[in-house]
Amino acid sequence: MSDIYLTNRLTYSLSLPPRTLSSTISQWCCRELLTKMEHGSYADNSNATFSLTDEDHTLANAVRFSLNQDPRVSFSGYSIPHPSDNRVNIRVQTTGAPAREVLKDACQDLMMMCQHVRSTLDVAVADFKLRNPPKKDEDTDMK
Amino acid sequence: MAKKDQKMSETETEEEETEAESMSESESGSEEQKQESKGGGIDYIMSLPDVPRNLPPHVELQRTRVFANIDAPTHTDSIQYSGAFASVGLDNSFRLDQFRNNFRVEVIRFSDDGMDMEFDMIGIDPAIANAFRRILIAEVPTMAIEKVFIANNTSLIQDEVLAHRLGLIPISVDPRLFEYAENNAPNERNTIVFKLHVQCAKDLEEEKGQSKKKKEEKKVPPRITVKAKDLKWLPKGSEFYLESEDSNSNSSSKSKTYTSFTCSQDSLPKFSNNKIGFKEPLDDINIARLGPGQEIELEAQAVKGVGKTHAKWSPVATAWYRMLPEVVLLEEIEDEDAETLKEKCPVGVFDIEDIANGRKRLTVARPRACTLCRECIRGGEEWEKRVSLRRVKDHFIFTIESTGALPPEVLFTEAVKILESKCERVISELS
Ligand code: SF4
Repeated sequence: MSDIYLTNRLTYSLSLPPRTLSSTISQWCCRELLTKMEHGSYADNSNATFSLTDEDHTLANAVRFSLNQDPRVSFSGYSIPHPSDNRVNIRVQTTGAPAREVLKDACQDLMMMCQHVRSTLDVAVADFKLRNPPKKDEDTDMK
Repeated sequence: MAKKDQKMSETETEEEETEAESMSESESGSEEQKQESKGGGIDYIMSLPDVPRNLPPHVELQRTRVFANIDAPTHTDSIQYSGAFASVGLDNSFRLDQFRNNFRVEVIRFSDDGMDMEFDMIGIDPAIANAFRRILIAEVPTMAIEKVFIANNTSLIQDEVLAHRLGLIPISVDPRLFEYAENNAPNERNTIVFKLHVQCAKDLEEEKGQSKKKKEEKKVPPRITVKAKDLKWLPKGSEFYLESEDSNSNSSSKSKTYTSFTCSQDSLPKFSNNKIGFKEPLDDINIARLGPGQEIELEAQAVKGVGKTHAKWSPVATAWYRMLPEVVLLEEIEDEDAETLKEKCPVGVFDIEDIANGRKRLTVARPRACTLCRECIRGGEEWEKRVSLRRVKDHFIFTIESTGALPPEVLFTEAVKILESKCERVISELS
């Protein structure tokens, strides 16, 4: 390669600035532990707002569903204070149980549901493939 | 206690009978409640295993169906609150065993290349189905070209546009085999390097293998279309040397390149019989057109990322769902009316069957095809009274179109896993 090419060499970063990029990535690695997530009163722990960073409607709406399905919850809802903040606030008010535990249980329920969805899908796909064997073996190779 | 129990179950059976008798009556709910409150606290009743789990039929219908009326859809909300039906003594709270019993997945079809998939997900709340969809689009990782090092580009397409086009080409490689690059130097565990070097012949003379006669016939100057398959995988990493290295020490045996691979990727067992590249139909994507004498020489580095950073990392072309349509004939529709209605539907939901005496009757043959265009209930109130258009709230027809990195069923599994890890993160941070 000649030197002329080297002077012409350009670098393009195609996506968001690196700072934003790394903040999204750290969420994946779950490294960014929050110092303060729960906002509520020390005296009464049945009402609290949980502020989750790097989350959006995806988790908040699903968690709100399982919170609302919990009989100990008297109110729950979520909001995204500002669209350019990677943050969602989940409000939990209970009939007496600690809000923190109720939220944890809600997440636990959600996880159990997910596990069941996963295993059900695997069975359904395996069934389908058994009934309709693929013409090429390509997609089994990919797994 | 046992006595009371027995008494209760007696009331229960009575109640069920009354309910069965008055199924069509709307008051059955309040009757039920009165009887129950006689028998003791509502909590006690709810703890019994044989508490009737049915709502009055019309409420049940409103709970499970969206009604697509001519003016607007009604009963569109999903009722999530655990105490929503407390007034009729019904528990609406989440029970895992109940979910397990009701939840079903039915695979409808796979495309021939196995990259498109349609399946029905039945018995789940839209909040969760939507979470899966959102994760599929925005949070399941893939590999995509992020950095482009252009050594030479004399084509018409500008460097930045070219770089953008390269970024959008789907790469058929399992992203789970790679790490996120973050701020690490590009190495064999987080980066794939591709090289593109294409050149179009200067003029007709230069084109090889052309006889004189042919040349005269063909007056059109040469052209080249650069395709995705022209991108060649460099398992050993970048072949471009860093500038500083060039100026100082040309003599040094090992000059540094733009990547720091410690070994060749094709020596790793995961890639040795699984070459990285562009799969069959996807290798035909146009990148640029070159005129006579034009040349492109570049290196592209692909890294792992997610769709919410940039759409090029989205593993799906689309992932969407729709609720199962339900078309119900509220009365028998025969003869001429049947013909009219069959003609009205643009997607052929209705069919006509012959009944005795040469009469014809309308049937709903393909409700799944219904797009809820509401053409069949247009044209006067009488039609609205004949047909009811609904959607089943907990039945999702899910379609995933993969861009080729992973088959759709694996993508979905990955999406579910990501939702699980999100929950896990919240739990661990709260503990
Ligand atoms: S709503 Fe449209 S697609 Fe559905 S049955 Fe009526 S006419 Fe056919």
